[in-house]
Amino acid sequence: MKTNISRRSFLKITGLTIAVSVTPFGYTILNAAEKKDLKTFNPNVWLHITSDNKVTISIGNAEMGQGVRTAQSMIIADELEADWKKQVRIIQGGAKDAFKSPILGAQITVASASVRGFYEPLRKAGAAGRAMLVKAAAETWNVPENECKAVLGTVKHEKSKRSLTYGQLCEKAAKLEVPKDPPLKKEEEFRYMGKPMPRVDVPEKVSGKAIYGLDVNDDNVNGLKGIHYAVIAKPPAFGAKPISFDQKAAEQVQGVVKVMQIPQGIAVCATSTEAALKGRDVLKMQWDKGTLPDMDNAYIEKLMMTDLDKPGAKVHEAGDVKKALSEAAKKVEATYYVPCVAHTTMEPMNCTAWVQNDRCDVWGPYQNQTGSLGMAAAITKLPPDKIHIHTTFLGCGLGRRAFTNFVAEAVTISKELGKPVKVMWTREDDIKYDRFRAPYDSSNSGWP
Amino acid sequence: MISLNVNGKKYKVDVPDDVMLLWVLRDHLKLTGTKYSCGIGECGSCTVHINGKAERSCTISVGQVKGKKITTIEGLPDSHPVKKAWIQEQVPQCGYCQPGVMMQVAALLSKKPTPTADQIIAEMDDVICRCGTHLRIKKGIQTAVQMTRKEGKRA
Repeated sequence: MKTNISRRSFLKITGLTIAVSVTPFGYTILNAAEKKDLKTFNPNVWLHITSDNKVTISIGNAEMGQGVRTAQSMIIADELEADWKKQVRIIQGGAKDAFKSPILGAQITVASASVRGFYEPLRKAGAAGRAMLVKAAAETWNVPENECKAVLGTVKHEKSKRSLTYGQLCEKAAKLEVPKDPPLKKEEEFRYMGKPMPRVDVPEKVSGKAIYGLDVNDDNVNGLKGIHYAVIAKPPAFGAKPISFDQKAAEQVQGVVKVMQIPQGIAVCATSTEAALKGRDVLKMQWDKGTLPDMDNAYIEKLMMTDLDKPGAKVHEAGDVKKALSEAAKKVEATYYVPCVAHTTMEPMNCTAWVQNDRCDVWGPYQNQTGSLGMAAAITKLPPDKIHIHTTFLGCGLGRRAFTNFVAEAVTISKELGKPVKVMWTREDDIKYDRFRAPYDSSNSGWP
Repeated sequence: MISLNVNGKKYKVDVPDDVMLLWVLRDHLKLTGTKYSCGIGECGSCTVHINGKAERSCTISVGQVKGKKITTIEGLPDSHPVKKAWIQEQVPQCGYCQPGVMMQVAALLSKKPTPTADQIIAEMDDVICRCGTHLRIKKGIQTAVQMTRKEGKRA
């Protein structure tokens, strides 16, 4: 899994980098090599062209099968006039201000907003890169810019039959100012947009090599060493607190390293998943009744159905409904109830965190990078720039992963344990402790 | 120490006999292509081949597979018609269930190289995809069947 580029390693890289600054008032496309911007460079990188003629595109949205990595990259690559097959490399970006959605105000992948929110800025970033590369070529050859044309990763001067690749031009282009309003392609000039393109994530998903949150381990993630596994015993009722549990029994299970009480429940940390599960099984948890001991599906249904008979707020009134109903030749009545429904993502909730003295790394399948970063910062008390949010593939999102409670657990446990730890929810945990879709009921009557 | 034969390689793992094969594959052998989802053998995400038969690795203990030939998604060659068809037909969405789906299909095609529609449904009915790629799974199977025919050999 590729992680985001650090500021230090970024500074060593030469080439043309298009960055972006997002403020509540809009966004500005920046050339990252401009010194004044480098000082505050975070790095908010969308697109990076290097002298090896490669174009690296960073995607900030979460890939959960909706194809966002492909779609957003297509937009940039098209306007940049990059060669999709030969040049383009796509990496998952970190949690950065640049990736905050201009329409949602956060780096969050929800509400079908990824293409709709980023369409214009991504096009402009690509177009700005193309304009700068063309200008660099024109200056090199001392010819007018309008005689030069970008074609699939190369700038050509037809008249003199000369051409230079983006790789050859990128360092010169990096010294130029970013055009404020770069000319965008006309629709008929689109090379990738609007056309069916194979998804970039499909081959690794078919090979079995794609890394989802639950797959994170010492072998497949750079910088992760000594991963531990944790499961949490959680309360059976809202607000229930543990009365007692057999810590010793759990700690006697081979592989169990530590049993700890956290706000969410009792966490069992081990050197393997199976040991953590076994440890949790022998905890013999005793809980108090909590704040709402009777709350379950039947309780909610009864409550809502009872409320249905009470008078509600009047939204609209016209004519005499009672009279019309009593006179109708045929009357139709129906009552509907839809219970709480769990999202049930195929990949249960999970998160891996490693809290160290001076940094915190979090790996996981989240839809909400801004929220995950905030959550990790609040728990560790580290400044946001010391927190590194690495987004894996998501085994379904369904909106569930926009909540960050699983991030809080991993960070809390790792901080206490002093080791990297992956918190896994079993399927049973995942269904029991979901952020359920709200129940619904309605009573309806009318005439056909 | 338990000796395992996975994807043609011999492994020795130091785990009790009653540990589920799924955790051994994923955490001990780092073969993370095989996925955990339901843990009770209902969804099919953890499907692997044991002596050529599709089995749910979340409900089979490692002690039960000593000496048997285990194949995971990583052991299915890239040239396998199912893998090729899955790319051609762009079957996965989130992709989490697909290793299990593909292993189920590969086992089906090795028994029945030209399955009928009913046989496909019977075999694939208890493999769950939450994204709803079922129509593309069907198409992928048809394409894999055609590829196998063209190659003139069994999948």
